[in-house]
Amino acid sequence: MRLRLALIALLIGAAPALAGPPAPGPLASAMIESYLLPRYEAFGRATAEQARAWKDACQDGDFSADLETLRERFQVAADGWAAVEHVTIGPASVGLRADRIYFGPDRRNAVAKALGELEAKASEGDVAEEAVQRLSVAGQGFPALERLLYETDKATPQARCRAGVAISRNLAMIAEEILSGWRAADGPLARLKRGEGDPVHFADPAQAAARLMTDLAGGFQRVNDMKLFPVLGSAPDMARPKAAEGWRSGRSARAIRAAVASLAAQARIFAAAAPKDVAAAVDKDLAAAEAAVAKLPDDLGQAAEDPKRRPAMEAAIAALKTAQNDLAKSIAPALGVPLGFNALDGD
Amino acid sequence: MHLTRRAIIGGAAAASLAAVAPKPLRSAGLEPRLLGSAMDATGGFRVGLLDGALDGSGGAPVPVRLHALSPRPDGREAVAVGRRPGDVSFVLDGEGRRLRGSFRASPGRRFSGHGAYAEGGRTFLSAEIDAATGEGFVVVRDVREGYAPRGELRSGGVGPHEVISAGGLIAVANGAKEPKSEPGVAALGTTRARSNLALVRPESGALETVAEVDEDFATLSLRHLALTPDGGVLVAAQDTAAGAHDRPLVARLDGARLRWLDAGYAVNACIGGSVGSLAIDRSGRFLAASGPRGGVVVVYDLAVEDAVGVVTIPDCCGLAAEPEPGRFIASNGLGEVVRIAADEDGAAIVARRIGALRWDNHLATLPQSAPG
Repeated sequence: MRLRLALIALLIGAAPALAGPPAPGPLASAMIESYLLPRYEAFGRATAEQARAWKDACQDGDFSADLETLRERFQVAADGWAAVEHVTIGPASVGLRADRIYFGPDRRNAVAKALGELEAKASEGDVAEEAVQRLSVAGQGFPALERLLYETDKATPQARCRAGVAISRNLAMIAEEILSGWRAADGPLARLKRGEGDPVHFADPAQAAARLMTDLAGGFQRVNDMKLFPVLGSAPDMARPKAAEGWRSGRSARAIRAAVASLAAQARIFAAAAPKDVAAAVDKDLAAAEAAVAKLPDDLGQAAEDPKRRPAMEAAIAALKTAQNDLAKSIAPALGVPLGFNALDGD
Repeated sequence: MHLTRRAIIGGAAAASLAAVAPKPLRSAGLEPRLLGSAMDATGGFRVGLLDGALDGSGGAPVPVRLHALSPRPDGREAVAVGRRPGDVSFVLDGEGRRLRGSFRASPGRRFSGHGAYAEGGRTFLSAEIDAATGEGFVVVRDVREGYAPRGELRSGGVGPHEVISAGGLIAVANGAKEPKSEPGVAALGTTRARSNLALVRPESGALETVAEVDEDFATLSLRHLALTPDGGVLVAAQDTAAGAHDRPLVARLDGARLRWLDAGYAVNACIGGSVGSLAIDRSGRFLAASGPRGGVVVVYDLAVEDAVGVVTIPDCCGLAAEPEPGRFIASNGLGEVVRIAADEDGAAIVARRIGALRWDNHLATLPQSAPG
């Protein structure tokens, strides 16, 4: 919170004095310190707690008695990822980390296949960290854990326990790697604060700001393109309920709300550095986007098949599109931050 | 190829040695070697000019967003075919500085953003899409007659995207599907047609070869093409399934089938599900493919049909070969122009410049010693 206030003070204080857009380097480093790192920290805590819960639950070699606790830990940890999954700048994009955390879309039943392999290994004893990392990315993260918690299979309780312990520990480790990558003495944040570029993530501080803004605008599009459009289809009979992310764990709408809450928070921080009239207009649209996703039905997949309930999804799509346009057409230009466009337009 | 730490660090180390020197945009006096679709600092669409030192300069301003540029072989003219779903193309002077005129798509049709000179620059091929059905055509235009249509051929599929002259044939990537979430050509959003790479005989319109993606790759839309010096055709795809990034996306035409350059999950996935552009180096051995969603350029060694390296360039799309073997120029939407060097052991960024122009999808190399 203190960081967030410091940022706002910096942005509000600096903008009028300069009578122009804020310097991109400080804008980017403030965004990383006040918005991004706290969310990676929360993700790190949630995955660490989840890993502990699995370890505790599996003391007796069967997690069925602790199912509710594990499900709750899963939901909170997955919310933590939903808050940062749109971010491609930084260590999350290195070494297939994002894929390992949340593989998808799963078109060839890769998750079930990889989980089967993991359970086979686990039936012989505890699974080493390296063994999980050698596994297909599809079996290393949330989708595989979701199967363990919300579906049954033929593996023994002991093997399923060991698989869950291994996956939850892997998630906590990846979360820790992302954080330590950001914070490294010669890492991207340190370089940014020295006014330098980073050899992997941004050529110069201005590009860091541009990438954060591009990721943010892309984040709104991503919710539409990956979490709503594929489920909705062009008509009720074209709806695909099982295209809804997290349908097994009933978190399709919850995941969207968590993502949009985080996107709106990031957008408001950028908006705070823009002229007041621009910020006010955008803030209204962000509030509308949050309100629209709050109204999404929890059974998103089923709702997509119901002509009476589709309008709530269509309204959310429109509101998210408006928010994305605000960023591209008013916030980014007001801050003098260029927005990448090749990654978003699909051509 | 396995995406090793070494491969990534190799790229990183080279990049950190490279100069990252922002240079002011020069308004004139630059001798362009490359043209590209671009956006200037005010958000206006322009032809972008790049010289040998990677300095950029704004060329002709245009009223709409551009896609690919086609310089005429004699260097005296260039065309920017309208971006899908537009129906206007622009004729420019040889250096892309001035707008000379425009021509339109046939009634009821849309351009795809790509075209190609043929017959030594006497004719120009434009890919056209029937807006109602998505059916594809290659319209042969007479350059001397203001690019008036002289005839047309079936493209051999639905939703043609890039068209090139390939020896005595015309190669067309029939994309079939609409990959844009923004409204493009509506018919391509609903078609069940399979994407293909077609070789068409220009004199008869006969289909020499139609290589269709097979069922397992049915969501892929073939869109971009490259030709090796010995006449081999390479094609790159976008996966139209939302978020999908698990498929190889670059293939070589092998007889009447597509042989995918499968570099393993890690490389396929880092491209991000969409190849934006292809380029083959001067030696003909190396192929670069840009992945704007993944923010990478993957360089393949065609001798072994495997990736030799991956360099990270966010929002990167435009690609062109340099005069030296193994060298490429890449450009991105954040204003960067990057020089890439590749050999059989790897690929690395060896220089990068940032300018005020933001680069859109494609770069094109101007013919040597263009008289301007």
